[in-house]
Amino acid sequence: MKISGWGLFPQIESKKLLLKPKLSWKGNFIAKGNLRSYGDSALAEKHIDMLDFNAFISFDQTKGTLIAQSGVLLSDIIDVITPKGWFLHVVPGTKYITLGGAIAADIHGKNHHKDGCFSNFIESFTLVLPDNQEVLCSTQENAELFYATCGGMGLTGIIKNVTIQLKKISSININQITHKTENLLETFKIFEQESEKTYSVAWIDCLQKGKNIGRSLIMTGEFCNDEQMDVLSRKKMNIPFNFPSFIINSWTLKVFNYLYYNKVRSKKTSQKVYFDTFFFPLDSINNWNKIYGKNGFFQFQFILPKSKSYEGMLHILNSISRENTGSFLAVLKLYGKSNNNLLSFPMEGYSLALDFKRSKKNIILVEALTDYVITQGGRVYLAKDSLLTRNQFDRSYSNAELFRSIRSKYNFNKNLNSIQSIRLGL
Amino acid sequence: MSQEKWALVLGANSDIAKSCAKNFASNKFNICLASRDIDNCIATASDIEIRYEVKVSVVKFDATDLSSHTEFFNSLDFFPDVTLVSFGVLYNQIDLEKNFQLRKEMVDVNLLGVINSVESLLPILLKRDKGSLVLMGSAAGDRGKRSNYIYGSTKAAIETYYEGVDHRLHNTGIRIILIKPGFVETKMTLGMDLPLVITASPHEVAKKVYNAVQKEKKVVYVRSIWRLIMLLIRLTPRFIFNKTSL
Repeated sequence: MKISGWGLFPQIESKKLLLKPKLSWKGNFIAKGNLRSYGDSALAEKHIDMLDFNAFISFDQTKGTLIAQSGVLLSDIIDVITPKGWFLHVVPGTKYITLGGAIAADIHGKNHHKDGCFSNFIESFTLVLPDNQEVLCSTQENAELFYATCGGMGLTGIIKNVTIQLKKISSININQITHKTENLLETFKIFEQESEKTYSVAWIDCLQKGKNIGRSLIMTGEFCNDEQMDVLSRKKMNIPFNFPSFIINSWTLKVFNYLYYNKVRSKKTSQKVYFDTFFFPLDSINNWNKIYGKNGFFQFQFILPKSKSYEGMLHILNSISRENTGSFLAVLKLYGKSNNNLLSFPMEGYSLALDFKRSKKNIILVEALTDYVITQGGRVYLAKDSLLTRNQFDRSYSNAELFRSIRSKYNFNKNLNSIQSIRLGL
Repeated sequence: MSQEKWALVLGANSDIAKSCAKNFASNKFNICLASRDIDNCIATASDIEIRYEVKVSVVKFDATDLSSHTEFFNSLDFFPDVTLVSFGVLYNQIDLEKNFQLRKEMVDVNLLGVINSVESLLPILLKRDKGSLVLMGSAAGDRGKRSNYIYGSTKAAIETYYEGVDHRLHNTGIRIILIKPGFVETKMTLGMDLPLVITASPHEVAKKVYNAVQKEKKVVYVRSIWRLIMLLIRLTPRFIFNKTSL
């Protein structure tokens, strides 16, 4: 079957392998989840479809501990746990990813500056090794494998059963405050000023020039205490086919960004919103990736250390606006300290995520910006990446060699290879 | 208070059976998973319990142990509002031609197992004059062809059996449905190169099964295009048909 990541490029032919009764470790393969990573992390000649491996194993409603197979979608978990007063400590911008994928990319959410990554709340998981033995991994047991696997892009064994600690909530609503800022300096000021808020994220109008550069809407949020627990179902829009690729151009982007920014009238507004709207705004449009056309798009998400963040973001926003290219959604976020996982993306600082239509011009731009990010001590998020070179990777992920040595120690590098891992020489 | 409804799934370890069980559970049916391989069912049972908050029980059931069937149904501690007879085996035609044991096992499971379990269950349903039965037929039973005629003949027999039971139940409150899945993407068919447009997912089969039960359908092809395909295949004159590689 033909598969591709969320960015619709590259698209490759990949054969399905079975996990049961026994996985055959031959050729290049990788565990594939719901294919929401943007690039080629889940693509290989052969794959194991973890979506088939999606059973809940146990749910302790008093302690908030869930055990499930790694192919369960976060959306299914949320459906099950939310009515019982529990939520996931860390959720990404879409709930349509698997539990295993969340571990493999060591995903983060709008609360990274407070709570860290997804792996922080993973008590343990079982991992299938090349001899088909299953081992239990946690920070106490097989810690080396635990730290390599969280953020390890599926390259250190097949994640099977996962035990995760949940977060107690007493409402399904979020108190959301929206700040409207005039420029990047003010945006950073508000981020720092609001850093005690559990959730925060900013959408930047990335098509502004000059003094307006970096004008944003910053959303902060906290779960309410209103005891409202009735889960709603949201209506969904559907993008049924690939839009012609000319739909996304500098004019439509400008109009969209203008309307989005000016939708909010006052400097500071406050409202109560349903958690689904707050955390997963884009999930209400099925297949939104198709609006970029059949050639696909890519996302460029990078992080810069705090000391370099303001200058760096300014430089990058300037470069993008000079090229007259840009993105529907440019998302800026504050991060807390990095963790012990070998390939985890976050570090203390700021990250920006931008979508680009896949075109030669945009690829050249992003390659140059990637080099800039790396010279500033930053790095690029592997779950979004399809362009990073081995050299760039080695310069920005300081544990690259250690990760490689673990891969060869356990014999993972013989078969467990994605197109991405081959590109990065992992 | 609304009365509890139960769906009994015989042969609960197939992909189609699991999907059907989940679909009935999502419609607030309690589920009884019956299978030879109980260990595997226990995992499915906790999954369904956690997802849908219905009662799920697991019982041992051996389709080929014919003399146990009556006792099995009599010992159920609930009334099966819906019974899905989903067990069945599909062996490769070439292997079947060579191996007596496989032929016997397939007829035992697909034919004797099904007939005997339905006959053993019917008295219980007739006593209350209600309940639905779902049998799994196959497009392979619509016309014998060299690629799978041994399997196909077990399914053709099931269809004839189905027609008879349907006739017998005509003036009762009991409904019997024959589902013909066509190609389905399951572990049974993994590695076969199935054409996309006529291949259904287990989830799709499950939705059709639930619908067929709700709407009291008779013979249901999961993808309706199969009705046309099989009609054409049946209508093809023998002197042409025998030259094909079907």
